[in-house]
Amino acid sequence: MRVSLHMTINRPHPRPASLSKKAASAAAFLATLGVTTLDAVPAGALSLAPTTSNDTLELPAEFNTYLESDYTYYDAEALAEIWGLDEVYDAKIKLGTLLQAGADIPIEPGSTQPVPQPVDATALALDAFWASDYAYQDALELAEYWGLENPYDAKIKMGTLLKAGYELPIEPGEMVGPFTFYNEIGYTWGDAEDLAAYWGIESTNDAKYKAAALLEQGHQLPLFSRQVALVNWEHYGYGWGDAVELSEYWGLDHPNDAMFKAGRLLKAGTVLPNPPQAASWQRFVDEGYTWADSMTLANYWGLEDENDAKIKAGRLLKAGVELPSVVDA
Amino acid sequence: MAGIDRIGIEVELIAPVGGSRRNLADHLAAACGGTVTQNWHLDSEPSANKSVGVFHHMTPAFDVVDGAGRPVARLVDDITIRRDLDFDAAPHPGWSRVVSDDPRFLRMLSGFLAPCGPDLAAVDDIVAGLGLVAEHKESAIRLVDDSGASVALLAHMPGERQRVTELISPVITGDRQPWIDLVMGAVAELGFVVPHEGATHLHYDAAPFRSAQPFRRLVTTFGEHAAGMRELFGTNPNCVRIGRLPEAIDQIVNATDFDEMPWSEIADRIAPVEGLAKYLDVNIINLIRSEPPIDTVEIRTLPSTASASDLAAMVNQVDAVMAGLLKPAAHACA
Repeated sequence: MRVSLHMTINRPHPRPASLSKKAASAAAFLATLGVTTLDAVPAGALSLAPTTSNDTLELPAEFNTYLESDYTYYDAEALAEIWGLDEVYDAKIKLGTLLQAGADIPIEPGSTQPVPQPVDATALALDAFWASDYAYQDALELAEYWGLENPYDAKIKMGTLLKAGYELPIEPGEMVGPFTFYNEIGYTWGDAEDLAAYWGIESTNDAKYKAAALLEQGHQLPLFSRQVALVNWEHYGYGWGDAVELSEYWGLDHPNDAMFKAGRLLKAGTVLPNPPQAASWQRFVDEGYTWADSMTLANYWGLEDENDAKIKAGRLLKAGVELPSVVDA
Repeated sequence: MAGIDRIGIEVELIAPVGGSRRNLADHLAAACGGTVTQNWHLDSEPSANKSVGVFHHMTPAFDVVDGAGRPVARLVDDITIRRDLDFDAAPHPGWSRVVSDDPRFLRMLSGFLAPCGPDLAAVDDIVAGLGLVAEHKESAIRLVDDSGASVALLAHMPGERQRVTELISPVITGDRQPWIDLVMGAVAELGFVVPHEGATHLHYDAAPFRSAQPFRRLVTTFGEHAAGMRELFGTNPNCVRIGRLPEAIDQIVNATDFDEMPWSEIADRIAPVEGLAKYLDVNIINLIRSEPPIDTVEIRTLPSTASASDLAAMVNQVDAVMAGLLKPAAHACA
């Protein structure tokens, strides 16, 4: 039961007659992924070559002139450089315009050699690595094992060995090195970032190595993990509103940062500047104050939100301070 | 093509005046010797009452299975489709909708109330079994508990909402053409058309995108190149629930050590990004969750169509794009 395209088409959004620069740029990006042999799409079209449908995409005539010429993509790239154009697409259009006018072109068609693409040993080794069941974690392990500087080098070595038919020292996912411990006790990438900041190390990976090495030697890390911080944060009844408040108080960029910092302080037995908002709010309600009271107090204190008044009042009550006489319990 | 073998297709359509999504369901069932069952479709909508925030509602949905009992399609309402409807039209006979501020009430009630043709007089008895009282109002029935608190509202469905048809495929493995031919053939025969705000959404398995390289390509395509992709896809400018991925994600995927990161770390970084939502050009919410309810990546910027060949062309196009994003390594040059 095939339905004919032109009988039933219902197209409220006609596509423009030619591709804009943005669309051409998106198409060019897709072309780098090998997405070139596409059929005509009803309302848009990725296909740069004319199709057999009545409904083909109209490219600028200059672009077609370029396509029909013997100039290659690499020539256009070189011309973009010569003419000082940011986009290769613009160079193709200019080239087409000049060809139509019969003007001189600075270079001969096909004269530009492509910049060697990474179809070299490294790329092939990485391909082999990606095609295998081994992952980043394994590369970390083996970088340690082989004494390589970073997991990237390990990936290349792993890929090279795999391609040559050798077996690797570990199975995919098998953890043997110090990271076992680092991972098992709940440290994550985020913790490595925090540790890097704490130690003043630029690379998060380096911080992770250092942390793993310390743990292996039986040392404690200077920071509790984010996971432990969050457990404590929640255990003491703190919530998102508190995180926002504390991030302002401490001048931190994001409430999450305040949450981790506060959770670590709580775990270490430190009392935070304020009790949790939820508990303060509850205190206010438990003492018999009403919503109308919170409105009165918000007015009295010049707060925009009556909820802020509830929290402030609850904290005062907890500290044993009497509320202003405008309200009565 | 590895990784994109399975697909889910959703097309937003509208029935001709006087028709409903039920007609399409019946027609489809007849075409494949199957049957139709009516069910409730749960969804949410922003509430006019600010203190509630979101209202949850359920409306009649129709599930079509073929002669062997295999699912063929599910046809549901879509609240973003509005412009082509006559809001003053009288309620569609027999159809009702249920509204509540808590989806749990709706799931509970869905087992007891029929979506189409419930005997409104019998509602009293049905809800009494749940300890609820039905207060009959002029245009609706309010269901309250014994303290008088409102649990849900059972109302008629005015304003031609029965015409709205979001056509949802089951999971299709391999060749998409047979499903497209069957379903869009019925669409064409009944004269369903493309609504003003209409879109087509395609779901692909999320798992293959859970690693640095494919994820970066996906994000580049629908973030950095979002505007160009919309033009290439012919995105409906009247589509309301789309948007480019937050720019903060561009920065994350372009970090020098991004390719070295395992997926868990990538997900940890993406999840807290402000502005990340389901209703963007690509829905990656389920991709970054560890236990998603639907494990898919959803492409949301395709226009709606009432034509089988248009739909097939669009699906081919997006298949090719998704397969490109998943290729092991890219050496080609534009």
